Formats: sequence, structure tokens, C-alpha cells
Amino acid sequence: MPSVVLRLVAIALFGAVLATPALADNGTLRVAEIWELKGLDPATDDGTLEKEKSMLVETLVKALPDFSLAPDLAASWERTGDKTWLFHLRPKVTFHDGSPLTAAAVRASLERAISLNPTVKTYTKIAAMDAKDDLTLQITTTEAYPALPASLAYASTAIVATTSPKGANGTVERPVGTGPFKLDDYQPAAQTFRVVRNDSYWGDKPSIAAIEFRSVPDPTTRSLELQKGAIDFTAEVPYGDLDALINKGFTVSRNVTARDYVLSFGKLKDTPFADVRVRKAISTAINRDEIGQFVLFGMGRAAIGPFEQKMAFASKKLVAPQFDLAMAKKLLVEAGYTPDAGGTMRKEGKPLGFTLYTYPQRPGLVPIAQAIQGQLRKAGIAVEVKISTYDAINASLKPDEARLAALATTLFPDPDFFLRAMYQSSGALNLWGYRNDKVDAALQVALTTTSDADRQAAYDQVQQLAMEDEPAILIAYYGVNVVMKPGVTNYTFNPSAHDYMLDPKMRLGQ
Amino acid sequence: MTSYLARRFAVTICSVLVATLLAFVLMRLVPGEPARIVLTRVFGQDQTIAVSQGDVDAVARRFGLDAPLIVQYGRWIGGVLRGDFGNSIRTGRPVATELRWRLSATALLAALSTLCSLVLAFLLVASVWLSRQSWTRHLAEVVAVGSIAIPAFYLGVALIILLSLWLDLLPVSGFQSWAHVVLPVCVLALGQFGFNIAILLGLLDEVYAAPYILTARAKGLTTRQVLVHHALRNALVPFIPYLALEIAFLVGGVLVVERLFGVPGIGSYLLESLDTHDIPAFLGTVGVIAGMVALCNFSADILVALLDPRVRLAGEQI
Repeated sequence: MPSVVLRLVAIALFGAVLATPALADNGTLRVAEIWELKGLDPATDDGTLEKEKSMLVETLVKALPDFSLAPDLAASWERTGDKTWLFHLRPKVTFHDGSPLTAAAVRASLERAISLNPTVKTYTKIAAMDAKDDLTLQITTTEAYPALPASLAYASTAIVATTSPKGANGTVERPVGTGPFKLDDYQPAAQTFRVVRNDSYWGDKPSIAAIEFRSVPDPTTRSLELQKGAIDFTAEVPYGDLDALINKGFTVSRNVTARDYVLSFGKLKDTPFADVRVRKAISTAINRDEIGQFVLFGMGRAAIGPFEQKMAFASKKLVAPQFDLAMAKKLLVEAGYTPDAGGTMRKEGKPLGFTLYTYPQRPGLVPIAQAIQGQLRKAGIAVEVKISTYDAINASLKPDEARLAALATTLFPDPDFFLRAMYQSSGALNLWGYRNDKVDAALQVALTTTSDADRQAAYDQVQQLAMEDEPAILIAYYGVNVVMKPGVTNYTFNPSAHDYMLDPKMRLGQ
Repeated sequence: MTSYLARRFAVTICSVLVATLLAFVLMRLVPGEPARIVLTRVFGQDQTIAVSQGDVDAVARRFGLDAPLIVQYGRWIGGVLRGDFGNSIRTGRPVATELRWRLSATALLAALSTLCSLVLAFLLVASVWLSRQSWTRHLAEVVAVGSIAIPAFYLGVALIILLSLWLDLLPVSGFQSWAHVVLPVCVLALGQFGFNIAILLGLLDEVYAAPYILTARAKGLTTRQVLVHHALRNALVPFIPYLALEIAFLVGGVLVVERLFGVPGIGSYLLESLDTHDIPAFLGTVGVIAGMVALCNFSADILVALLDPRVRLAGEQI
């Protein structure tokens, strides 16, 4: 208890000194981060705060805005065997503490990430690593795995010096990375940290001298902080505030990221949804453009296939699902349903309908569910919307019920992860039991072929089949908004960001 | 007196234990596999990523989530008895350290808001009583009901827009200076303010019905003297347990206020711990909150016993 009292006195004294909020100096960008600041170890969280937002650390490979791969800490890589790869590191790169980036350092960092974060091992499939010389790292995977370079863009694989100061249980408290910014000050108790420009950075040096991050988890509060002028940059403010912010001179960028709003059914066996015509009818009765425009305020876009069309591995042969109420009704009649006097579709006396579960954590979900309810009513399908949590829905969804979720489609820039999870008969997200042997075969080809063209052809085929069968109905691509105060310029949104990314080329005007 | 205190202390300890046990059981009743939630929220910051069962099992083993429930709870209690609250799953830091950080912010808000609401309520009620007008009493009652009824979130946003954006007097959110403390304290205090007014008015009614007030008046004391020296003093004793109860209600307000004003306190820590299934952090927070509430009740019991001999005598007779 005495320490609490001391702390209160300390806060009081500290507060008195800072009673008037100081203006940030011109070279400092003040960012409101949307999550709690758990810590700064890229291996034990998802790494996006350290890599994409604060730019303290870098990965071997990076994703360009079209999700194609580009060199980052690795200047190049080559596949030397079914399971072996050589990564040639960029020369003359140093960590923030001045020590050189070597193959041994990269190996130590990756080994640490694998031991701390089980997803790193699963996504990279690394079995062994060998530093061939100072700048060459040989990686052997557990199986033939063409997505290895892409998986090394996964933010949790970001390279940190093993000398980074750590806490009691091995978690890095102050990461020593190679990024364009280095850590200056971290106050975990106050949920703030500050990074400053790394003047010995190997690439183009940023123009901004420093960035201050503060956790502001409430979207309304972030909007108010912008209007107050206390922050310069944030993401995910309430959709309804965006127009007002534009009118006040703020720069608002509405972007699509790698996440899909997906309507999926409990089971595709022994339910009305087993009939592809019923699924197609539901899909055709949903007006996706209306949802994008009026429900999401432009924060998102009607889905054409599993991946947004600008993504390098999105199949370009897909035809966008068209809204067609008459066609929806026709399909249902073909499936054996007849409309009753009130317009409700019935088969053997039973009305067609389902309970649609969703959860409130992503702002678009509940309004989309309500819009779908209204749109499907016009086709004679009765939908009841219920709100729960993602985990509760997954644990208790009945076969004849449905779920609306926002599913991440890439954690690293490769199509395999999502297509396999969603459409393979044993896929981790395929809870509804979809099985198409052609899909399974194509996914197997993609895994074993060494030709990039064959691999893409296989993924194209999976996307094509997925849109023909529509085991789960893709509604829209997820949108994220980024709001900047006037004077912040030269910012380009990178859609491969998990939430949002800062851009080292950003400038502060005025 | 000693046996009374010993009994009350035992009840206090038991209530903290029961609170943490309940929290533990409730957390396990939340649907979903705990290790899967940890894996997708802590390591992925996203609940919708596909994860393999092997990874889920690895996380369960590492954080001891695969042990039977009673063993998990037993381990936690065992640690706490040795002064070890364990490490937070999501940050890796000792829970005790993080709770110390968080507690200082919340304790400051709670103490200031309780103090402000008390002082203001006493002043308002005293002036109502001294004015001897029925309309002032009605007005006070309306103020009380109104301040209890306004949701903290809306009041907070309204105050931010008014005091922070329009009048430019105070910062919106954060916890870096005294200026940052003002708005959250106002929002928290207003809820308590209403309760305090309502309870004080009721207690004064009871006190004024007592014969000694008539005696005091008959002695020729002024209204003010009767109020200050006799009525308020006697109303204070039954008011103390209410005040302790208010601390429990304050926890609810703290959850909303800390999120809205971005205060890194116990409330936001509790919500994040629950969301990520961070069991050591969650149990530690519930334990600390329950401990604080129980301590307030215990202190109230002692105070009342000290101030009112009937209580401690009754305690010894039983």
C-alpha cells in the first residue's frame, strides 16, 4: 500500500509539471494506436505493432501493396531443393545497437520466435537452419513448401538482436531491430512509447524525426482526439464520423484490407444448405453493392472472390456475383420451394429460414447481418439475427444456423493459407464440412509443384470452384479507415497491413 | 471487539477467495477452448485466423491450461500465498507489477471521485436542509435521480465535446497530467453524487424523527447547530456502510470511464485480460478488486464499531 501512496504523490508532482499539454514538436508524429499496448516483442504478439506501425523491426521478405513479394532484409533467395532454400542477406545492415546483421543473428532470432510462438513454426514449417557464411542462411522445411519466402514476411518472424533487453520470462522488453526507427522511450504503465529516426538505416531514411504512440482503444475517443488536435494519425474511427472529419479538413483514406465478410452455414449436410441452388439463391438475393455503399459507408467493397482483385494471387477469371432477386426465387423454385401467400418460401410445409449469428467486435458485422436479413426477406427467406461472441458462435452453432464473420485472408502474402483453411475438406476454417475432390486435388498440386505458374493455376482453379459451389458466401471485403490531420502528407496505405501501416516516406508539413 | 474484528476479517478473506473462484469458474464457462483463444488473440491479435490443433495443444501445455480446473485454480492460489501472482499470458510480465501500475491510476480516480461526490453531496444536502423549502428538496431529488440515470459513456462524450473541444480547457484522453484526471473524475463522481444525495436525505429524515432532535430544538439551538452538531453526526454512522457499498458500484463506472478516457487502469486491464483469456492477469485483477471492496467494507465495519458502541456490544453478545 505505501508504494501506491508514493506513486500517487509521484503522479501528482509529475502532473503538476505537465499541467498544460505540450505541443508536439514539428518533427514528431503522434499516433493513436487502436489496441492495448501489450508489449514490444514481435515474437509474442502478432508483430504488427513493431513491424508495420512503429517500423522498429523488419522481416527477411516484405509484401508490396499488391501482395507480391519483395526483398527486405534478405536481398534474394533461391530454392535449392524440394525442402531447402538459401536466403542471401542484405550486406552492411546493422542493428540499432551497431552490431551487424549476420546469418547467425537471423538464425538466432528465428529460433527464438519459433520457440516462443507456435504459429511461427506452423506458418514457416522451418525444420532446421544453417548459417553457410556471414550473409547466407540455409533453411530446410519439414515438407516441400513453396510458401516459405511469403511466410517470412509474417510479422512475428521479424528479426531482433538476441541482445535485446528482456523481461523475466524471456519476452523482449525493448526490441533492438534494424528498422528505419529505433526505440527511444517505452512506458508500459502509461501505455505509450516513442521511436526516433534511425540515422544509420540501410535504406531511405524517413523524414519524420520521431513517432509517439499512445493506446486509445475507444474509436469515439480517437475521433475526438483528432478533432482536439492532440493526435495526428489514427485508424478505425466510427464510420459515421468520417464525413464530418473530411469537412474539418482531415485526410481520410478508406481502404480495403485482406479480410472478408463471410456468411457460412452450420453444416452442408442434411440441411437446406446442402443444395447448391439454395446457397446460390441466398447469394444472388444479397445485394453486395448496396451493402458496400450504404451499410459500410464505402468502408469495404462487394466481394468477387476470396481475394480482393488487386491482390497478386486473386484469380482474374472470376465473374462478380450479381444481385438478381428474380433469379434467386427461380433457383429456390427449382430446389423444390414454393412461395406461400405471404411470400415465404416453403418446402413440404417448412419455411426456409435460418438464424444468423454474428459478433460486434468488427464494426461492419452487425449492420451487414441486419441488411442481409432485410434483403433475404424479399426473396422469401426468413432470417433472425443474433449477436454473440466469435468463440461462442463457433462452439455452439447448429447445423441449420449460419454465421457472419470477418475472416483474415492473409497473415503473410500467400493464397495457400486461406484457401486451404476455407475450402480443403479438412481445412481449419471449414467447419461446415465442404468437400470437393477437385479442390483438394488442386491444393495438393499447389503444394508439390515447383513451377510458380502451375501453382497459381491451381489456386485459380480453387477460387473458381469455390465461387461455383459457394460453400460459404463471400459478402464484402473488409475496409479500414485511416485519418490524418492536415499537413501529414506522402502517405500510401499498404493493404497487406493487418490493421494499418505507417509509411516511412510520410512527411509532416507546416 | 477483538472477536468481532476477527470474524469480520475472516469474512473478508473468504469473500475475496470466493470472488476469485467464481471469476475462475465463470471464465471457464465462456464458450471456446481457452488455449485456442490465447493462441488467436495473444499470438495473432485476431480471433479469425486458422490455427492447427497442434499449436493449440502446445499453448495449453505451456500455460498449464491442460490441467484439471481445480488443479489450475489450486496452482494459482498456491502462487498467491507465496506472493507470486504469476506472469501475464499476453505481456509476459509479472501480474503483480502490472497490477501495481494499473492500481495507482484507478485508485487516484476512485479516491478523488469519492471525495468530490461526498463533499458536494454534503454541501447540497446541508443547504437544502438549511433553506427549509420543500422545492429545494424536490430539486435535490431530481438532481440525484438525474445524475444516477445518465449513462457514464454519454456523459463522458458530452463533457469531452463541451470542455475539451468547444471550450478547449482540458485534454480528451490519456493519463499524463492532472488535467487528464479532471474529466474521468467528473464522470465517476457524478454517478456517486446522486446516490450520496439520495441516501443522505433519507438518513436525515430518520435522524430528524428521533427525540433528541426535538430536545436539541427545545434547548433553543439554531437550525444550523441542530444540523451540524446533532443530525449530520448521527446520520454519518449509518452512511459509512453505504459508502463502502458505493466502492463496489464504482467498479462498473471505472470500466466504462477508463476505456473512454484511455486511462491505463484496473478496469481496462480487466477487460483486456478477459478478452484474451489471460487467466493469471484476470484472476489477479478480480482478486485485487474484490480485495479493495472487501477492505472498504471491513474498514467501514471497524469505523462503525468504533463510532457506535451498540454495534460492538451486539457483536460480543452473540
